[in-house]
Amino acid sequence: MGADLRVAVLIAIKDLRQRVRDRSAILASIVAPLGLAIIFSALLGNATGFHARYAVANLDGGQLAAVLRTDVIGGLATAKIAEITDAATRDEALALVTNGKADAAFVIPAGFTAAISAGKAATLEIAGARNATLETEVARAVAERFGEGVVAVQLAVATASKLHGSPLDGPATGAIVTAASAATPAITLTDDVARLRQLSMSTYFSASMAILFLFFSAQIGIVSLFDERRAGTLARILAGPVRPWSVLFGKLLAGFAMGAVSLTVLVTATTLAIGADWGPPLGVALIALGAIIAAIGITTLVASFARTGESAAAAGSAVAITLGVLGGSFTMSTQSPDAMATLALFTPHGWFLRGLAELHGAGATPADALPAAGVLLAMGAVTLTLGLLRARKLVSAR
Amino acid sequence: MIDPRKAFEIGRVNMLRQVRDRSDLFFVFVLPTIIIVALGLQFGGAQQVRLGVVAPAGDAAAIALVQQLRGDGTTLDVRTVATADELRSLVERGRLEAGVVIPDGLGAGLAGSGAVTVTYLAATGALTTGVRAPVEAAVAKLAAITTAARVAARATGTDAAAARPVAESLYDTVPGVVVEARAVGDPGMFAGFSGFTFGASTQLVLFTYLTSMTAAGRLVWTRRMGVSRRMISTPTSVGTIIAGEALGRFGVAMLQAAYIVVMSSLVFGVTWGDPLAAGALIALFGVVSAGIALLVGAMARTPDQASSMGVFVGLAMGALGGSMIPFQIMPPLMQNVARVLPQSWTLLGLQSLIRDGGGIASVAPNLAVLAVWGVAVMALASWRFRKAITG
Repeated sequence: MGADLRVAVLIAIKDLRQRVRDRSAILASIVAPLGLAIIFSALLGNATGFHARYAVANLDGGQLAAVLRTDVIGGLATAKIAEITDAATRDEALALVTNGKADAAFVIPAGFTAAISAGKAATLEIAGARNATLETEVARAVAERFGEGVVAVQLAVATASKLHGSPLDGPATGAIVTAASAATPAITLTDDVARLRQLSMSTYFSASMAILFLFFSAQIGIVSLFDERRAGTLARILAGPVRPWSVLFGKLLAGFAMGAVSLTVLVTATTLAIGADWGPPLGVALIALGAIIAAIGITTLVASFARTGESAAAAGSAVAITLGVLGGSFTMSTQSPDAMATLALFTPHGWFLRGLAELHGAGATPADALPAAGVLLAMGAVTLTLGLLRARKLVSAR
Repeated sequence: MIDPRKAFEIGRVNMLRQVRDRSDLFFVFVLPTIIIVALGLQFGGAQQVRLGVVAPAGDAAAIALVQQLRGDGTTLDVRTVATADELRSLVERGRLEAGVVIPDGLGAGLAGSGAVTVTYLAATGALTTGVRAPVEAAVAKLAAITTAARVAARATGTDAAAARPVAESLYDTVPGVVVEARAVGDPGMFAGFSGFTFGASTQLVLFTYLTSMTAAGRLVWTRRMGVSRRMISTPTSVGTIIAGEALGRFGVAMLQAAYIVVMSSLVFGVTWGDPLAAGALIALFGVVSAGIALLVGAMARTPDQASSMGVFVGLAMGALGGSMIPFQIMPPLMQNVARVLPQSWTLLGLQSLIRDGGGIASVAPNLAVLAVWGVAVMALASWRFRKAITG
């Protein structure tokens, strides 16, 4: 048994040495995923935050317009949701939007305060850029919330008149206006901050590229078995006192080592280079272990159907990339439709990314890695068993 | 002294090798189809904001609030969630952008005199700050009716429960503030694209280039097996061989592009705009791709090196050139990087043809940049390849 293990380790070391000398393995295991993770995080920059730029043309000198400008719209700037630019005229405000200098413009027309005070309809104009729909919606919602405040006062007067049965006199109306304006809000909206169990953009793409290229690292061993067969070195190894199983095990060990090195380097490098936050090391290690086993299992099973090294490598890449596309390696799956999110759960890529996400947020512990690590290990165990049963013929004497 | 017939023959053999290699069929035909479908399903998905709502059952005020949140359904995609814990779990995992918890007894609370608290659950920052505004607006409407009913009831000495239906019925009659919102300026980056079109245009650029790059590995084989040397020993000029090999790469690039154009228009109904202009863009991009493939094929020492190098360079240039992340959302610095690459010129040209129409004249600058790229890489590649097979 000890001798078998020694043979397996020797074979693994030999394979790794060969792969490292041939620079293509380093390119596929480290340079490509690292390079792409850096490119993706540079391309997306900080595209996630909501920050709007609003232009305001306050053409009314009245008190309500001042409240709208200073308290309501100004409140957005205080909350750091938006930056506000004042424009002298309506045209100037609209020009800021069409020139891309602002996302939306508020135009408070002359006579705004007077109209509201007189109980007449007042109009507030919002012009939003076509490519800033969310910012425009927020502007509209802010304006409507202000409008509801006006409605509350007017509605109180109207309701009182109706209940009273006849129009109210001046002083009674005045008292109602004052009471309604001063009333404490009947409903308050309080904030509850959710601590996201999600990966940041740079972590997401670091992780998705790592798992995508892990499949290329994991298959080096099993694919080289075909090359050894063709070159005749396999027959020579098997002519010695070596069990076929230890050759197969050595090949898988090489893939495992390559995958482990690749993931370790990628986790370290992306943490240092682009500030990726992978989570607690123990949890990350558990998920990484599951992912490597799953990658080895799947590539072994796929390779067992191939006849040559080239076709094994091509089929392995095809399966890896398809699983990657479905598993969210190229798109953040949280933003995808529900069907795609469900589909991702059939892939190791989906579970890897989900498992890492579970390590973030409030009260997350390494134990949160267990479900995903378990699924990955199970995927690995099933495919590896089937793959080994089929791959047996590759190492049997011909 | 290029013999066109021989060059064409060398090109034809190259094409045959590509088509007959079954392991490559997946990458040329199946993979781009899968990605275009995936992108098509994704298209526009993130435009709507998903808001989860936990509401007490059978509470009229709560039902009204949910209805108000739903609005006309354009801004918020409101989904009912059973419990607050489930809501938290969904928001934490990004399956919902934000959530609202309406407390039990909302209706009773509003009928009384105190304040009711509705909880808004979201992560700090990000998109969710923006979602709060429409939620606030919906809550404000309910608050306005409640305040009006309470004030009017007190002023007239009526029961609050009797005042509320009156206030509700009068809501639409008060003038209030009319908010007139309209859209101005340039259309959004996805406007004018439908379903699969945007994805098809980006994947055409990505795969035409990637497939050419896989053909670079085959060129290293041709060199290493001595095929090129044997060809030189025949009465065939070096120029003819180079032209033939270049033609082979170009043919492979065109095969890939033609597949995506035909498949996407037949299966997904993608329209590519003016055929002449689109064809010219694609053909010139094919020349650039073929030139770079020839260059990598001439410089790499092993086929493995050429193909992994080629795939990495292909993915990197594709990403930087806007094939994966739309050019329009890149930070300014990265947009400048993209402007150097042939990918972005091809892609933006194709997209303008699809969206705005136009012909050769409207994409003339794009064609000019691609032509410069094509001449430059072809010259460099021919020189390196000549050195590689004769040197």
